[in-house]
Formats: sequence, structure tokens, C-alpha cells
Amino acid sequence: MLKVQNLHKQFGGVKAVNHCSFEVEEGSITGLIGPNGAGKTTTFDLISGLMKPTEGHIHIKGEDVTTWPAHKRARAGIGRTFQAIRIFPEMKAIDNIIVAFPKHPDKLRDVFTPTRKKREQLKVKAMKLLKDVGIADKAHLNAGDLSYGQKKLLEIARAVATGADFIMLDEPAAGINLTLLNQIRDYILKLNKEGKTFFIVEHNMQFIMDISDKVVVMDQGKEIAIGKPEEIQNNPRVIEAYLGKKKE
Amino acid sequence: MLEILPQIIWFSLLASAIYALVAIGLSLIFGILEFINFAQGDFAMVGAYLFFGFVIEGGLPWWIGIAMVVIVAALMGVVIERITFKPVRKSPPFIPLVISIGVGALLQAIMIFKFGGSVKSYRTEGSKAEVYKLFGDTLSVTQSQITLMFVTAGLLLGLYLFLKYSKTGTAIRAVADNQDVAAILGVSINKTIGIIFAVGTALAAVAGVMIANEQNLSITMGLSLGVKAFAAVVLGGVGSLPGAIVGAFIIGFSENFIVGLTPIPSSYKDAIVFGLLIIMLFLYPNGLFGAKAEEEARA
Amino acid sequence: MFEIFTNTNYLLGFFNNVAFLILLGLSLNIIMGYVGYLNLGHVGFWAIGSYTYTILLMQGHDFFVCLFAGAIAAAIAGLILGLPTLKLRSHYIGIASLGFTYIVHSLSLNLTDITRGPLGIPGIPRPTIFGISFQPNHMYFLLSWAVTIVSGIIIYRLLHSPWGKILETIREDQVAAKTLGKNIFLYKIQAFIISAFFAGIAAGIYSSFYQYIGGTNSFFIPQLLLLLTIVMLGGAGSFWGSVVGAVIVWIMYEGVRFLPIEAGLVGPVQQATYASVLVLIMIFRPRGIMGKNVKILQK
Repeated sequence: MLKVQNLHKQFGGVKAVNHCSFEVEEGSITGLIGPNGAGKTTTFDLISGLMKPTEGHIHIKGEDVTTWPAHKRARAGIGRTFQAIRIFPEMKAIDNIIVAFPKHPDKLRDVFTPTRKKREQLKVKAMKLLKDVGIADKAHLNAGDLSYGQKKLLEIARAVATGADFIMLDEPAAGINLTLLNQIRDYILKLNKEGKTFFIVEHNMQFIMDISDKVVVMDQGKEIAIGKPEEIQNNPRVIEAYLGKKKE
Repeated sequence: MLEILPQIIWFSLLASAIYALVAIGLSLIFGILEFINFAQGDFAMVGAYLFFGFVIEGGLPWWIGIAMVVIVAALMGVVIERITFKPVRKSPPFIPLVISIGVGALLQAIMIFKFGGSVKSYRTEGSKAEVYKLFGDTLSVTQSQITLMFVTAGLLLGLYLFLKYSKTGTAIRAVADNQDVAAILGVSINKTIGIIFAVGTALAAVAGVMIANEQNLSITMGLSLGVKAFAAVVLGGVGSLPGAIVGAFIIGFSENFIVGLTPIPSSYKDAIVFGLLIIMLFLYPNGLFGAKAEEEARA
Repeated sequence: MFEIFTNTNYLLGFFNNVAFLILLGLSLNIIMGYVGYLNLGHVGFWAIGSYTYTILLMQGHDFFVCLFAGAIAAAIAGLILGLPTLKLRSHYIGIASLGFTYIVHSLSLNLTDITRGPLGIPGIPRPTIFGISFQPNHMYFLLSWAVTIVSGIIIYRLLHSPWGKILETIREDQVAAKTLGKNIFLYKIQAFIISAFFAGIAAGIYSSFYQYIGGTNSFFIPQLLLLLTIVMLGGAGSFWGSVVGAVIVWIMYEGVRFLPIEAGLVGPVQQATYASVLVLIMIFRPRGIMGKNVKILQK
């Protein structure tokens, strides 16, 4: 599904991502962990096209997308959420979802053609998505007025609405309670069963080890270990990366 | 061609000094509060009119006039900051920016109330400026131009020493670097921002006096000055004071050389500078010298 | 009897003004309120539309041809300003677009062969369409409102379409909008062109209403302030906000004329009024009367 080769991103003298390579298999749930500042979010930004790499290549479904702009990659099936939630706060929750559908008739030429029927269908689809994540009753509130957890659910639902089959979640478990956490886990597992591939950055070890088929560990911009969760937990380099960090 | 060169260079120096004075205030405010103060050019306009009021109408000696302009402008800067910008310090940056447009327009209206809308000049009838002829008459320099150049140099040097060595200057640099950290270290943010406005407004006001000494005074004279000063800030890299001064020299020299050495009429001078500014912003969004890669945002 | 007659004419004049101001406010709101960009170049579009319309009309071309040509000319200007600036970060688009207004203003004063410079163009006719003369005020009132309402319906439809929703996502968070597969640069350019187009339409009905355009004080800062106040007072991101804003702004404008002040001070008092209202709105209620809490100029 995703193949990252020799990916490198330099800001001035700082190597945020340092010649990093790994793969995410189709249909898998892959975790991406590492201490703070390891370059996880930058890697996400590089994959989704919000930043251009200094070196290296990114392949999605066998296609080299390294030079593609972000919106083109999104249309190719890459969806994502953000560590600092990025919803559209002054728009209704349901509209946050509706604008994400690929079939949303949002071309300028669509303005003066009849799209009412299509829009009604999208509304129904959006309501179903909101119901799936359990915030259907909030559909007509401004997204900015939702609680933190509800915003997170909305953002995940929005990524799903794009029709993406490769979804990247940046810290889905951070800052939410256990009930919500289980809800999000169940939702991810359900979508995974329906064939969607997940790539998840997370600090909550129990959550990530529990859900992932495979885990990629990054430290100082480089992948230092790749393997099954149980292998990763016993890998001395990983333990060193985390404990070494803690000692400081 | 060559015989007009000394005169072009002198005019370029004068223009550069004026832009530098305005650009420094702009850069200080942008560096700390992260908004473009569109009223900066109007601060200069107010300075020009204050000098007119004190010296030409009021009959005060010029050096008291300059001192009064500096003091009144500094106070004005502090008051404007307290009333209009302080309440919105935590708001998104477009809010103080739009406010500054309003403040500029308000200052223009107030100056019309006080001085009338007609074009004014420092040169009173019958008075003759003392002119020095240099380089075999190819360069003429007036007494007042020299005086104002010295005043500018003195102010810039004073500002440099102030920022580098005084306690307040250190505080300003600390706040510019990181407001939250500076606050924890016990720097008074309010006081520091007040001082920045006082300094920035006073410098702009002196620039206004300089420009009015060369041209006439008009209510809308601040606009082109403000945009050019901003161009200087962007050229030199946002947040860098030496950069702003270098930018001011680039603009001062290029506009005078374009007008002096090409057949383009001088009335197009500003339009050309702004056209170049738009192109430059497009080509170098971080300024010519301010390419800070670590500030790269998600594009 | 006579009093009623003057009253009617006065009211017709009032609503003719409101008509083109609504259209100018609505068109600027597309960019400021929906896309979330501070565009200070709208006055430039207005000027380009006005000159194009007027010059063609005075050559005897058909009214609708001239109106459309003015709008197209403004739209092309929108494209020219939009292409280099819409990828700019945050504040820079504000300064670049202000530079644009300045350039257009400066050209309108200097290209005397076309614009008659500071003299302006007097004697602009009002059209005759299908043999019906729209010369009298009440007839022109019908025409300008017909144009405004038709344009307003189109703008309403645009803004409330799925296309308009994407504009709002750009205002809310353009990074997120990109990750949803939206080519936001395309939307921004489309919005910029459409916004400029309708400014050009408004410019046409403005020109034939006053039957005079140009002069040193037109298409410049006072007009910019007027438009900003309409949009921000009514509320950025609200269609009806701009309509309400235009009405209130013009009531303030006319209200000043009834104050017991000398004629020469009317302009400055009007400017001071808008400036103060703009500053107060931004400090105390940046969402205006009925707008949204929009984040113009996100980083």
C-alpha cells in the first residue's frame, strides 16, 4: 500500500526525517511510534503531501507520488487526521463531513446545474457516518462547539468520508477517556475489516500494541525497528530509545 | 549621465534614511505582535504636520520642534497601543491589522481638522534654503538635509545602543524572541510593547519631518511611505532590524536610480516600487535575506 | 409639493448609492468572509471596472456590453493580482493588494490620455435600453436595483452552493481542505475572479449614477475604508451582513451631512466616523452584526 524509501527532510541544519524507509502492507493496521521529536508528524506531512521531502521517494499503491500535490494524493486515497485537530469550526458538523465526499458537487460548473438530489443523498450518507461514530445528534451544531472527543470522532469520520482506503491517524488516543478510546478502537477495527489500511501515530503503548499488526519505531528521524508488536516490545534498541530519552 | 550621479546618490541616501526610520518601527511591531501596522506611514504623516505646527506656524526653533515631535509622537504611540491594540493582543493577527487601517484613517481625519486639507510646505515664501554646491556644482545639498541626516544617524545609533546595552533593550529582544518565556523571566510585556510603540512612532515621525522637508505635506503622504517601509522589512527578512535598514537602502537607491537614469517619469516611481514588491513577494516569500527554512510551514 | 419632490429625489439618490455599495460589499465578502483573505485591492477592481465601462459607454457602445466589459476587465485584474498573491502567506497578501490599489490609483492619475488624470471624466451618460431612457433618477433607480438584485441572486447561489462550502473550508483550515482532495488554489483563483467581476458590475452602475468618475480622492483610501467597514460591520462570512452593512454605512455617511459643520469638514468627519466604527467593531465584536468568527489570514 505505502512504500517509503530513503525519505529525508531537513529544516536548515535539523534532520527531522533522516533517510527513513519502511512499508505499510495493504489491509494492515500499522503503528508508528517513537519518542517526542522523532519525526513522526513530519513523516505524516511528507506522506500526505503537505511538505516536500529533501530526498527520497514515496509510493502509494505502486505509484510514485513524491512530486504530487497534497490534494492529488488525497484523491488517490490517502486520508488523514491531525495531532492538533483540524476541523472546520464555523461549519456544521454534518457539513464537515459532506464537503469531504469525493462526489460532493463542488466544481464551479456545478453551481448552476441541478444537484439537489445528489446533495440529499450525500446528506443521508453523512448522517450515517456520524451515526457510526456516535455523534449523529450533534449533526447540526457548529463543529467548533463539539467536545474535544467529539471533534476527534468528527475528524476521523471526515477522513473516512473522503473515500480513502489508506487512513493515517495522528494520535487518535491522546487526551480522551477510556470509553471513547474503546469506541475509536472498535471503529478502526470495523473499518479495517471492511478493507481499509491504517497507519497510526500513537503514544499510548497499550492501545497501539493491542491494535497493530506491525509497528514501525522511529528515533531521531530514522526507523530503528520494524516488526510485530511483541517483537518490538522486547527490542533492546527500542527500549534504549525510550528509556534513554527518559533519563534526560 | 555621469554628472547627475552624485545628486542621485544623495537623494537615494535621503530616501533610504527615511524608509529605514519607518521600517524599523514596523519591524519592531511585526517582530513582537506579528501584525503589519498599516498606520506606520500615518505616524510619519502626523510627525510632518506636528513639525509644521510647532516650527512653521508656532515659530519654535527647529531643534525644539524636532524634540517636541519625538515626544508627542512617542506619547501618541503609547496611547494608541493602549486603547486600540492592547485589547486585541490575543486575537488573530488580521484584527489588529484592520484596526491599524482604521487608526491610520482616523489620524488623517484628525490632521485635516487641525491643519485643513490643503497641501502645505515647510518652505515659507521669501525664505531661501542654504545650499552647498559640491563636486563642481553637480551636487547640491541643503543645510536642512545635512542636519536631518545627522539627526537620523544619531537616532539609529542611539537605538542600536539602546537595544544592545540597556536593560529595556534586552527586554525588548527577549519579548521578540519568546513572549511567554520573557514573561516568566519577569519582563513586563505591557511595558515593553508600550516602549516599542513609543520608539517606532517617534522614529516614523522624524521620517515624516524629513520627507516633508523634501516634498510638500499632504494628508495621504503616509500610505506610500508605509508600503515602501514594509517592502524594506520584507526585503531584509521579517524580524531583522539590520535587514530592515538594508532593505530600506535597496528601495531608496533603486527607486531613485530608476527615475534618474531611465526615461520613466517620476510620478510612476511608487507604482514601480509596489509592482516590484508584489513580484518580489511572489518570488521570495521569506524576503531576500530572510530565508529561514526552519520556519517552513505546511505548504 | 416641492419638498416631497426633493425628498423623493433624495431617497432615490440614497438607494442608488446603497445598490452599488451592496454589490461592492457582497463581492468583497466573497474573498474576505468566505475565502478568508484580506483583500485591500478591491478598490482597484472598482476603478478598473469604472474606467472601462465609462470609456466604452462614451464611445457609444451598448449599456450591457459596457457593463459586461467593465466586469471582465476587473475580473482580468483579479486574475493578475490573484495569481502571484494567492499563494502568499498570511499578512503579505494584505500589503500586496494594498500596493495594487495604490498602483491602479497612481495609473488613474497619470495615464491622462485615457483617464484625464486628476480632472476625472464628467458627463457620463445614463443608458437608453430598448428605447427606454434611464436618465431620470427614478428610472435609474430601477435599473441599478435590477442589476444589483440579479447579481446578488447569483452571488447568493454561488456562496450557498457546494462550491461556496469549499471556500468556507479554505477560510476555516486550508491545510485540512487540501487533505480532503480539494485543489484550493483553483478555488481561490475562481473566487478572486468572481469577486472582481462583480466589483466591475457595481462599478458600472456607480459610474452612470454619479455621471462622473476620477479625481485625486476617488478609488483610494476613503473608498477602501468604506468597503472594509461595510463588510466588517455587517459581518464577514454573512451574505445578508454585507447588505445590512451597506445600508448602515450609507446612513452614517448621509447622517454626517446633516451635522452643523462646515462643508469642508464633511469628508473628514465621514472618514473619522467609519474609521472609529471599524476600530470599535474590531475590538468589541469582530464578527460584526451577523457574521461568523472568521479567521482571516491564517498562518
